[in-house]
Order: sequence, then structure tokens, then C-alpha cells
Amino acid sequence: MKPETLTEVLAAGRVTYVGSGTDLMPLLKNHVRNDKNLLFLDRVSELKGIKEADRLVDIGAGETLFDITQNDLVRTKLPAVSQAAGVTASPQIRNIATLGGNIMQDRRCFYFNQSEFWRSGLELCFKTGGAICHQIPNSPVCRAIYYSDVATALVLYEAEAEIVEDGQRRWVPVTELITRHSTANGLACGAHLPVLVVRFRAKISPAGERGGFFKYAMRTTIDFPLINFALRCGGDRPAALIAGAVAPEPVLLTETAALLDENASDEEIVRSCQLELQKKALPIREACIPPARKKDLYPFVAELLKLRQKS
Amino acid sequence: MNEYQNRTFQAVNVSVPRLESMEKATGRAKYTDDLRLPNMAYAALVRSPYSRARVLSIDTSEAEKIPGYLGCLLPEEVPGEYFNCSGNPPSPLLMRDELVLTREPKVLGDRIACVAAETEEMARAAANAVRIEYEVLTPYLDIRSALSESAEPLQPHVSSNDNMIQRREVSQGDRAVGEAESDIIVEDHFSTPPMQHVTIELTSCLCDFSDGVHLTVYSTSQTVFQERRLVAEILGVKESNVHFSKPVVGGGFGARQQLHAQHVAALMSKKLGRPVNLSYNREEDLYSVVRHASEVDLRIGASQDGKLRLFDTIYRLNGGPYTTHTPTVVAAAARKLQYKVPNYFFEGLSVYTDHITGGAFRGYGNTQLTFGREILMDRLAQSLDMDPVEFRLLNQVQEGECFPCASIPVSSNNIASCARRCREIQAEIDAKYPLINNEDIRQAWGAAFSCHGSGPSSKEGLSSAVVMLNDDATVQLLVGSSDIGQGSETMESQITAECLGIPLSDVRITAADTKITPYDTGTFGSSQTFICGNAVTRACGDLKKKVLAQLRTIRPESRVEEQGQGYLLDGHPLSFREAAREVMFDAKGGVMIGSGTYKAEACPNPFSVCFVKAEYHKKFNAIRLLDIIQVVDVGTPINRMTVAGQLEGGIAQGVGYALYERLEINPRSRRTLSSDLLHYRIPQMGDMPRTHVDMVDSYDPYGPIGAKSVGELATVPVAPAIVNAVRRACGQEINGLPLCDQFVILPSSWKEARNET
Amino acid sequence: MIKQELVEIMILLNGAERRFYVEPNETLLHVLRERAGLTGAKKGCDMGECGACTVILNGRAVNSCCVFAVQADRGVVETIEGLGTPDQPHPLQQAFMDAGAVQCGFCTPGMIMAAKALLDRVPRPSQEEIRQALSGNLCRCTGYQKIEQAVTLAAEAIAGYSREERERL
Repeated sequence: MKPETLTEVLAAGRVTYVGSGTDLMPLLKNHVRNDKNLLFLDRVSELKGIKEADRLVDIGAGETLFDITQNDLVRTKLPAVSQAAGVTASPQIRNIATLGGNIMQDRRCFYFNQSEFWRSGLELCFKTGGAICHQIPNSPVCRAIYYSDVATALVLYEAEAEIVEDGQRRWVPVTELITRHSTANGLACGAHLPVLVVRFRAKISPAGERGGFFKYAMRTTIDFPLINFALRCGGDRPAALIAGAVAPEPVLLTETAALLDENASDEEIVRSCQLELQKKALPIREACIPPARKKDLYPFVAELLKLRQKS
Repeated sequence: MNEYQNRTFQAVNVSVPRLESMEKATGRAKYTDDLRLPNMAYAALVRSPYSRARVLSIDTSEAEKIPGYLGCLLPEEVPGEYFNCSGNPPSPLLMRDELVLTREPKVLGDRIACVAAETEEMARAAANAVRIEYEVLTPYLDIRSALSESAEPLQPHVSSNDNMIQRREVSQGDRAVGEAESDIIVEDHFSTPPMQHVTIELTSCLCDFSDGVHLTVYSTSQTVFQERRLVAEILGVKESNVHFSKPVVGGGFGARQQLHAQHVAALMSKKLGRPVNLSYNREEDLYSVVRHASEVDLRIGASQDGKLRLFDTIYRLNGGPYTTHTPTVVAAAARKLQYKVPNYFFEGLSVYTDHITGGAFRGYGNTQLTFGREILMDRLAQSLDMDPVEFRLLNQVQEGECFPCASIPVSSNNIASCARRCREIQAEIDAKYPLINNEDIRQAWGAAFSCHGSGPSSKEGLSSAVVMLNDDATVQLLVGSSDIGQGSETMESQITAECLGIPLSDVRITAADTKITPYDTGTFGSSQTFICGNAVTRACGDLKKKVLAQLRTIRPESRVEEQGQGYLLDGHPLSFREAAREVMFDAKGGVMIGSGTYKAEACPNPFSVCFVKAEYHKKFNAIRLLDIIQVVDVGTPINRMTVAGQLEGGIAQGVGYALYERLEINPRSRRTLSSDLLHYRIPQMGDMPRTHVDMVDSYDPYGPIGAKSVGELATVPVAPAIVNAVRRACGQEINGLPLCDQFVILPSSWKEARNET
Repeated sequence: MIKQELVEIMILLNGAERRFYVEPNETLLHVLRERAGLTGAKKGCDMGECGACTVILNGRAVNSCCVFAVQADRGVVETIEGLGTPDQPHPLQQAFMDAGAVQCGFCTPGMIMAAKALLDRVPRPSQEEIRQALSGNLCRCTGYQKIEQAVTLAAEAIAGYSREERERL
């Protein structure tokens, strides 16, 4: 139940991997998931450690969000990741929540992140084993949103994840991992992707590149993002802009990113971002925010545009 | 009455740490769900997931298979008489229309059945396993649909033709005259959302009715004596056999001014012959009771000289399917107009719906009407080109004058000083952080006035106190009123210390235990300082009188007189301490017990002025709160620290109400979206603007040592003051809450965070 | 609720080694309240949203309602009961009392433990650091102003302590 090596972990067979359980616990309490075989990963040393090697920053999937915010390497070489980790959830949760667990967190929707009582009498949705999405009743798939903050930042840096699947250990782009996770995770709780995430790595930001992360939530802490952005520009690789909490996976705003390195004005970039999000975002009804207000959040990309100015 | 006016105080008008704070800070204080009795079982309620339905069948067979299952109560096994769960004293306004368990649920979460098991987890699992077949009916969630012609009456035995619980009209003057005399009339429709109390402690009770004769209840209670009366009535037992003992309570704000599930837990205890704990989870707590949503039509007219001529309102409250407090909440709202208006028309409608039941909530009707009123006052001041504060002061009812339709004149009012002090603080803030007005950001100030009562405005407050003198001149104080976190036990002790001239540390209080302490109407209506405080001053006066009489009995040969805090014996001073010893142990001594009862003779109004500084970000259509000032006239502040704490806490609740709090029901699922604290958002530490609170000198002749109330007052002006600041910053008119519907809300920590990156 | 096999765990709880037999899904909060009889950590939401159950696990503030008890195995847990007594309060407990930061008191143990974890790491926190560190703890009574003041007050008090006094905290 509490393995100390990767070998022991992999010998355990079909289990649910638990980083710290901060995402899983409420799902179990609400009986949205009923995982029986929990395998706790917090003693596995191969999942720990943050190091620099071959122009890459390498972060163990078992590192906590708090430790990531405290790490100088991440702060200077992958600033958006550091910032995203620092605004995720609440201090208590960041203290134990792991990077791997954060990336593999369940998508969320108020139609199923509810108690058994709340859901009783409602038709089962894709996530809870049925065949409907209450948000968009004619949708052929679950439209729940993926709310990870750190994922948006990892995607910004084109990070890769080292995973073990069917006994095979390999590196995959983090976007691929999230897409597969998100698809599996939306279909049903039981069909959780049978993948162990070992480490993440991303190329260190080239000299002159400036990167940052912005999250909008109504309150200081705890809340999931209503929108988040990660942006990089400057340096010798193309600029990038990613938006999160607006779809089942992070959204790459490529058209707007292309403007970042040009002489476009901030206003033009904000406008482009709004247009691109209107095309690419898949918003759903969320508590406390009417759909119309969600669109008001798109201009928040402006908060990252000061990164365009060379300091 | 005025023996304390102009006196230097030793134990009141000072800042005193709460007597129980160290018990709380060390984790030793026992709240209801911290208590464990031998052989205790756990109960959970089987509730309706539908807002309106009929139960066709109940099948408990699966629940019975849950390990640890102990038993179940079905609707037909419990008393079937209607009752009203409100913790108010009996009143013809409080219609009886609620059942212990029902087969006709009228609101999400209605109680259908109750199961018990060996542990809380097992009880919950068993409750989830009870299979109920329903006929689902279309609910009337808002006032409009509940009042539509086609709507079926929800409580036909109360209101056979429609869903009107009660219509209440209060008026003076002539509407046509008011309209004719007004040069400007402003009017609008205002909506306020249902707000939940979110006491951090969850609703809980522990009932021991094992022998079926004597019932002991430990519960989250504001009104132990009313709850005792109601439970005795429901169970058909004598009040003397029902013992409510209030443990430490983690907040009330009105949510515990009613019965929750003590009745069903007691019945389960009787059935099992074991003590039963029944505790809500957060989801249950969130739909247990709310501040009424309101729909208010309001017109205010003024003549060119700035004098109000007309106030005309139709005030509708969404009561949910049970009357509970609704008509008294409406009635309370009618009595809080603090401006001189010769033509005043109040029409208040209490409406049945299938929304979450409306109950008592800090402000009790005053909050909803003051909201629209203070926004219209701001618009009116602008139309008249007058300063909004001066405009309000010009129309303010002064000491000796009466509120519209009120019979007792205002006994003290120093709101002008409150406004002055607010302006001083505002000037300090502006000097430090001048108002910004640029292309992106515009900052502005907004103001609102408010008042409240001290004790229920119906003057049904009744309280009593007993002071027992020990031979070392320390005292035991017994009061019936509940400290639910607001600090009343400390305050009643301070009043005792002040009246008897003894140190606060010599007073030991026992409160809110129906077996030990004397009657008190309950902790509601901002009563504790004023109603219970007056009972305490009377008990202390009685004790002093009795000690004096006893001294005269002991020393028939001497001349004994009161002097200051002690006595003169043939001209020689005898301290209270010496006297205490003498009166008990002398051969002709006796036990000295002072008692006092106070029945409300008045309901003095405390007053508040609230200023808010807010900013509007044009780019994001976003708002942010920067500063909130609140200065109050609460008469003599008994404990300045407690008063400041009430003001700061009241501001925080007002901030949540204004920005994002709403118990929201999703139209598709007809379930509440706000089922946890991620989706029902209350402000966190970092969300709060800078707050500045103060109290001005004042003394109320009816108050104990000049004191008036503060608890409810503190939250009433906050939301309209916020709206007035926001409307001046953004130039848009606002007539509803929460503001997150209209604006993007930025946490107050926003700017700081941005500067860091 | 299927009866599962119990797991033995060992916790250094407020300085004393304690063994418990727990369910695999059981929370640390449940162990503290129901098995160890320590009711200072409160259940306000049971979902990691209010902070009333905050305790310190291996030097860090955590929501004990969202920590699996088995994860605390071989760990060090500090709860409010281990902090101080009314006769010998921890400076934070004294400051909460003196500043008027305690009203209903239900959030207080969690607030104090979150503040303790902060002061252990940052002895003289800025206002911003306090507001960040305590942002995961909800309070409905105080409006937070006096809580913030109490933490500053406690930090000042501890700064005035001798080294031995500080080590005894």
C-alpha cells in the first residue's frame, strides 16, 4: 500500500495511484469515484527531485506544489510553472498536493462534483456511467472542464512527461498525456487512464525569454481558476500563449501567439485573444459566474502583456 | 434609570478579551459535535432531492443491510401535527405548516425519513440506501411563479387560494399629497438574493430521550427556551422534562434561531433507547435556511429643498414553503425607516415558494429594504445636486422624534457624529491614497446610513438574570441568553462587574441551560446587550438592595447606608467584600440572591454610517473594494473590542452579500449549485478590503448602562454602501445583487499581487 | 460501506508515539477526533474548503479532512492540543485572545495551526504573507482584521523571546 520504489509500484498491478489525494478525497467522499485499491506514492524516491540536466529542468511527479514554488531552478527557468504552482488551490493543499496529481486531476462540472444525494434522481451523465452531458445535452461527449493551473504552464514550455504504461516507460508530450487523460476521464470515473506519471521535463527558457502565468478566480485562494493564461515571449524561440479552465484541456492560442513577437499593439493582441477564445473555448455553466461574464475574462490576457517589454 | 450616565466606568466601555477565548484558542472548548455520550448512535436524514414532489413509496430494505444499521423513522411513526420551527415566542403571525417528517416535500432537502446506525458514516450510507419513489411536481421557485394565477397553493390549510402567507400594510399620510409635494421622484425595482449564514460550525444536535420521559438536548441553539417549548409541544411532554443545554456554539447569525432536527433526533433516541447525534454536513447546512430573497418596488420623492415627501414600497419576500419567520421579518422591515417622511406606504408580502426556506438572518428584513432605499437615496441626492451624506442627515429622524408609523420616539441618536467621524477617516485615507481616476481605473466613495433595533422590534423581548453572592464577594451569574460567538457572556459579566463594583474576574457566568438558568426569549433581534443586559442590571440592583436589607437586619442598632460600591456603617466604610462575608455568616445571616426580569419597554435604535471606497477597471468591467469605514452609535459600548469585532465581521458578511453570495438553484437540475464552500463563496482573509471601524459617544436612557445593540446593525449598510461606491465609480446603475452578475470581481489583494509579478 | 481491512499506523502525535488501526479511506481528521479523542481540529466542510481542520503534518499545515490517515503513518502531527494550555499558552494563543481574534472560536484552532506553520517558516511575516498563509481558513465572525493583527502580535512576542524560550515552543 505504501511502496518505496518504482519497482514495487509497478508490481502492484491495477491500482489507483495517489500522490497526496487532495483531488481524489472529495471525489471518494461524494462517491463520484469508488476506487478501492489506492496506492500511495509519497515514499517513492524516484518520483522526487528537481534538477537541471541537458538544458532541461526535470521535476519529479511526486514533488509538492509548495516545494516547486520554493525551488529557484523552477522559478528562474520555468517561471510560469512556479507561478502557477503558487496560486493553485489553498496553502494547505499546495503543501501536500503533487505535480503529478495536479496534472492527473479529474475534470470538473457541477453536475457531478456533488454528493450522492444531490445526484440522486438525475439521469447519469457520461462521467457517472450514463450517456448524457447535462451541460450540453446534445453533446456526444462529457464537456466538463479541466481546471489545472500548472498544466497550462507546462504546456507553455512544451513539457514532456515520463510515464509508465503497460510496463513501458517512455516520454510523451504533456499535451498528449492531458488529451488522453481528459478523454478517458470524461467518459467515466472507472476508466481512469492506467498510467503512472514519473517525471516532467521542459527545456529551460532561453536567455532573454520572459514567461509568466496569470489566474483569475473570484477569491484569493481555494477557488479553481475561472480562466488562466501562460505566456512566453522574447528569447530565440517563438512566443506562445496558452489558456486554461475554458475547455476539457488547455487551449493553445497560436494565432494570438504569432502576434506577440511582432509589432502588434497590446490592444490588438487582446482583441485577437478574445476572438481566438471565442472560437476555441468550450465554456460550460459554472457556479457564481454567468456565461456572459466568462467572456469578460478573456481580456485578462492583458495582465501578461507587460512581459513583452524588455526589462 | 440614569444612575450610570456621566459616570466613569471601570468594567464597561473598555476592551476586554472574551472570557472563554483561551478555552477556544487551546481547542478545549466543546462544541455540540465534540460531545460523546456512552452508547451514542448516529442519525442521518433521508431528504428529498426534489423541490416539490409526492412520496409514493419508501423502501428501507437496502438500508437495513448496511452494517451498523440500527433503525429508521418514517413519517407515519412521528407526531403529525403542524408546527412552526421559528425560535420566536408564540405569535399569530407564525403560521404552523411544517411537519417532523413529510410525504409531500416542498423544498429541496425536506425531511422524509431518518435512519440511525453505529457510526456517522454508516448512518449516511444507510440514508443513501433508502429507496424512495416520487411523483415529481413542478416547483415554484420564485415569487412571480408562486403568485401566478395558475399556481397551486403550497399550504392550503393556511392559504387556500394562493401562496400569500400574509399581506401587511403600514402607512401614514396621503400618497397623492406625497406625489404632489415631490419635485423629484426616483423609483426602481430591486432584487436581493437568498444568502446563507455559513456558520463555520455545522448544525448539530445530540439528544438523549432514551427513557422516553426525560429529554436532554445539546445543540447549536440561539433560542434554547423557545426550542424547549417547541420540542415539548411536538413530543407531547412537559417543558420541565426537557433540558436544553447549550454547548459552545460556532456562530448563529439567525440560522439557529429555530429548530432544525432536534425533534426527529429525540424521537430516534426514544426508539433506540440510546443517545443520538444528528449532525448536518455542509451541503445540508447550505440548504437548511437562508436570508429571504426579495423583490422590492420602491419610490422615494423629495421636494427641491431636499426634504423627503414620499416613501412608497411593495416589499416581497420569498419565504420558501414554510412560514417559519417570514411574516415577522416583513413586519420588522416596516419599522426601520430612519428618515422623516410624512407620506409613508409600506406593503409587505410574505410569499410561499418551493425555494430554500427563508428564516432569520442578521438584519431580519432590514437588510433587504435598506438596500434599495440607500441606493435610491444616493440617486436622489445626485438628482438634487446635494451631498449624499448631508442629504441623509437633513432627513434623519432626531432624538425625541418618531420614525414613520412608530409610537416610541427615538431615545438617542448621534448619527451626525458617526458621519463626521467617517469623514475624518475618509480624509486620512484620501491623504494617503488619493483617488485614482485615469483611462483604466476610476475610484469613488459611496455611503449608506442604517439603523436597527435593540431587541425584537415587536418588543417581545423578555429576559431574566440571577446573581448569587458568594461569601468572598465573588458572584455567580445565571442568564438564559445564549452566547453563540458574539461575546454576550463576557458582556453580561462586565455589566455585573460594573453594577456591583467588583472586578470582572470575580464574576462567573452560566448561560443558556434550561435546567439551571432563568428564562430568556433568545439570542436574536440584537437582544443580548439590551434585553438581557437590562435584566442583569436589575438583578444586580436587587442583590445590592437585599444585601443592604440584610445588613440592617444583622445590625439593627446601626445606621447602614449605600455608598458608592459599598456601604457606610454608622459613618464607617464597609466594603462590598466585607459586607458579603458578614451577611452570610452572621447568626442572622442569609443567602443573597438577586434576581431581575426585563420585559422590553423600548427598542432603542442604534445607528450606523458606512463609507466604501471602490474602483472600476474599464478594460475588464471589473470592480475592486479598497476601504470600508463603519462608525456607529451603539450607546455605551460595553466591550469596545467586541463591538469592533461585530462591526468588522458585519462588514465581511456585507462584502460577501454584495459581491458573490447567493444560494443558487440551477434551473436544469433544480438542485442548488451552492452545495459546498467552493460554490458558495464567502470572503477569505485576502478578499477583505481595509476596514476601519469606530464608535461615537452616546448614551441611551433605556439601555443597561446606556447601551444599545450592535450585532445586526453592523451588516445592514454595507451592501448598499458598496453599490453606491461602485455606481459612482462605473457610472452604471445597479439594482440587484450579487455584483458578480454584472461585474468581474477582483479580490482586494489584486493590486498587490499584480505589482509582485 | 463495506468493512475493509484495518491498517496499522503510527503517528508522533503532539510528541507522543501513538498507534491506530484505521480504514484505508479514513481521514486523518477522523483519526484525531474519533480515535485519539482530540476534538480541537474541527469539521467545517469535510472537503478541504474551510481550513477548520488544519493541523501540522511533518511541518506543514494541511487540511486533515483531506489527508488519508495512512499517509500520516510514521509522520509527525501537531494539533492545537499540543500547542499550549490556558496556563501556559503558546504566544499565538495568547495573541488571539489579546487581539480579540476569537469570536465563535470554531475556526480558531485551524487558524492558529496555519499561523503556527507560517511562523515556523517565516518568523516575521509581512501583512501580505499572513494574508496568503491564512487564506485557506474561513472565518465568518471576525472579518479577519483581528486575526491578522494577532499573528503579527505573536510574531513580535516570539521575536522577543530568548533562544531557549523559542525552542520550547
